[in-house]
Amino acid sequence: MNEKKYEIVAKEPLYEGYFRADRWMVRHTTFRGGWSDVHPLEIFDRGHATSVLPWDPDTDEVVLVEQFRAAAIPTAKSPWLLEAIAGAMKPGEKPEDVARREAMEEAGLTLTTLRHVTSFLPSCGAVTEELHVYVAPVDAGTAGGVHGLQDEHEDMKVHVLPFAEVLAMVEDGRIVAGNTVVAVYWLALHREEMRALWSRKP
Amino acid sequence: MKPRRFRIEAREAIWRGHFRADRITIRHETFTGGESAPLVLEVFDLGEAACVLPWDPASDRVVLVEQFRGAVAAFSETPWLLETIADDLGPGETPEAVARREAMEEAGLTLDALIPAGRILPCPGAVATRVHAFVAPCNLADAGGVHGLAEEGEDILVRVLDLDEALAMVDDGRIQASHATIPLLWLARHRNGVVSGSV
Repeated sequence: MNEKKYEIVAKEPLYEGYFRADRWMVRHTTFRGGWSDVHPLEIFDRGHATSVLPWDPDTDEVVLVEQFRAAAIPTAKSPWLLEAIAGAMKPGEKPEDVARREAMEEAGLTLTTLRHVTSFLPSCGAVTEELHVYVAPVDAGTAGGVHGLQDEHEDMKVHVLPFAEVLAMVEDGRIVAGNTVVAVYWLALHREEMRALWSRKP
Repeated sequence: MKPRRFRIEAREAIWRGHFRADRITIRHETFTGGESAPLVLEVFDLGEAACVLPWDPASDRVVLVEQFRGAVAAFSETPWLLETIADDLGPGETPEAVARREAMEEAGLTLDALIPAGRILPCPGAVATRVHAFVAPCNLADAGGVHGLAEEGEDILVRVLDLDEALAMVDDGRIQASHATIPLLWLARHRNGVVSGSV
């Protein structure tokens, strides 16, 4: 196959606010041969994010946070979603640092070990975001309550749920957030391996 | 008590094009009681989409499509992604109809059964979009080639991969699109059930 090449011919801002969107004029080499026409793409930039699913290897419980998500209003039965812990990455931050900070802010949890699951692109047709997904062992007995930064208007309720129930909620559509679905399915496939690695029992 | 109520106090259109973006001012009930302060949020609306992962139970192979994705050029040297067959839902279209149409357009495949593999909000922090995922058992013996509507600028390479290879590619980052990652993980969990008819 020929070498793949692309070119961003022009960039024009569409709006700049908390997030930003641009129109890019791009062309690229094609599988059929030669170059594509120059075509417009609307690109939404909200930065990158990190997510972590805390899991207790001894009680087989998962820690999730419930929060209001305005972007879920058009499609979800209720815009309060149950999700893994997650947060936006500031420039220069490492995903592991964001996972630790958000676990403390959103659930009062101190994380030690982190296992990287995958890094996925939530909406690659139009959004530049890359989302790093981790699973972390915790003592779920230390989790609970209402958390979140008041000055960021975060209002989060911590739920500690049996893994089997969380998996059932993914499969019947009560859990819909992509970061959470990915981490739960991954853990369903790797639970025994992770338990052997992380159990606190002698 | 579980909070249930919210009200949108203001909505301002900040972009109307192929996609749309709004700045909304919203209040909601809180877990600690009472109502939140007004939140000003930017919500980007891509509408709804459907995706389908064709899977051959006899060979345990799947079809993914490779195409150029400009949004990824922001941080990737090679913005060609491996994804499931997918498209936006047009007005009045069902997810099943879109899955079937795109399987023909993007891979030349005629699908039989469509097994629901999740309805996902890939990015609920800021993007109002939902993706309806399906797995479609089918015969992939003849799958391959370059597809897509040339007049729409589509340039799509069909890739037929062992499911285990595709799962390894999710693990090591060669597959990153959420609408590929999620149906692949779903199928890893359910492939035996699909064969036995329990899913």
